Amino acid sequence: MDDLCSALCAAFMDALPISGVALSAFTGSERETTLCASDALAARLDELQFDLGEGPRWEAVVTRSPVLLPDVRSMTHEKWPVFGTALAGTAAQALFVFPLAVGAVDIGVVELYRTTPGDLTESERASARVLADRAAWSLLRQLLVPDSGEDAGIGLSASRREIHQATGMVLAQIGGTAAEALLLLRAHAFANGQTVRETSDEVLERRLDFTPPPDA
Amino acid sequence: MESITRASRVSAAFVKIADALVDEYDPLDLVQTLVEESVELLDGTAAGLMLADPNGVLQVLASTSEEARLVEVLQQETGTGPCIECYDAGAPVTIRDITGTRDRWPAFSELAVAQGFRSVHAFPLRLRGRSIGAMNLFRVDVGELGAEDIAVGQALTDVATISILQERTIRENAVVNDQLQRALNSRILIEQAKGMIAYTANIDTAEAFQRLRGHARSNNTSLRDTAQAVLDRTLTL
Repeated sequence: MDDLCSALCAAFMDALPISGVALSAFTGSERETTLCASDALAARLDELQFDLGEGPRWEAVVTRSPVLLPDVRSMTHEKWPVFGTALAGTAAQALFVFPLAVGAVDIGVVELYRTTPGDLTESERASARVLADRAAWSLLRQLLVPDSGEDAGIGLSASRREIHQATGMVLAQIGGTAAEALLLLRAHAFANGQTVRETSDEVLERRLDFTPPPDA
Repeated sequence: MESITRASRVSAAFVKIADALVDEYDPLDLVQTLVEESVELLDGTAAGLMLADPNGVLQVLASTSEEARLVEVLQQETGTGPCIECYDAGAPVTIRDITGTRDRWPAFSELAVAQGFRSVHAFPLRLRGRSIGAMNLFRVDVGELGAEDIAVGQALTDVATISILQERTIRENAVVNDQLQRALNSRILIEQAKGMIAYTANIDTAEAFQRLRGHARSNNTSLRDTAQAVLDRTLTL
């Protein structure tokens, strides 16, 4: 996992004119962790927002859209006043946050900062979105098939539509978020020695139902 | 007489498509229409359109039947088969008799023949020399497509390329990749929403897709937005 995250971070550093990057994923437990950061400031910017419960990373998660702050010192930070003040005291002058999502499954966020102000070009934004999408897929695959670095065959492919359909069914059964539904599928698969695909098929064939009992 | 009927069918199909290419068209609905029209116009039984994901693996974006078995045949091709060969070469691939490919693509030919498919024709989605996916047309008869059919099939496929890549002047590879991924990501939202609808309404996923599409069309919204509303629980179908 660490190797994967370092590689994903390196891809952002290589492709974009940025000073640092942090990749943060939702692991399904209550407290998520910063998976990797290229430097201490990148990590701190993510942790600050997490601890404060405010900041562009949360906006990116909720809206599932990028939040671009090309000049953090000249803007007012109405939506995240405390983080805004803290941010102004750092070397970061621009902050760009992209959500990591696969369909309705929120995987995490990637935060890019730069010590000089200025917007990303359209092409750079597109590159960042492509890299974010690739990172989301890689993390999802890692989540579903932790023991194999790559899709080890048809039965394991994270892109199979059965897995997404089953995620939707479980979502209807348990409420909550799509990520929780997917993690539940994964947990059940592991506990029963199945692939996520096999568990998904059972859900689609209505042989497996996660609806909580009425008085549980 | 038949050729007149046929010519008018082809032009009617393109008029319908041109009509759909208005300002706020939904690329996914349009691609769905294109695979359906290709089956109609080219006497196919089934068709599916696949796009390459960021790792170069083909993913099904639209298929004439939501039936798992057709998708199975298409997805089988993510490994090897005429569709991936077409995508790799950026050139059409015609297999006049699928039973003759048992040695070349055993898994594909077995699945395809089990579906009653006897021939397959793959058209590349091309963008200035770059290949971004392929459309597969399956037929129950053995044989090749005529030159005119090939031209029609490629034209439908080219329209699909244009509709997926919405900015006509795209020069940047990154922007192209971004749009391809958005299309594939929309498809995932749709699959998730199909599961949710199928469970809640106790129907199969094919019917769930029809409800989703019907609602999107009658409310003039995109399949993606409709799927998102279902997943957000602001819409129950």
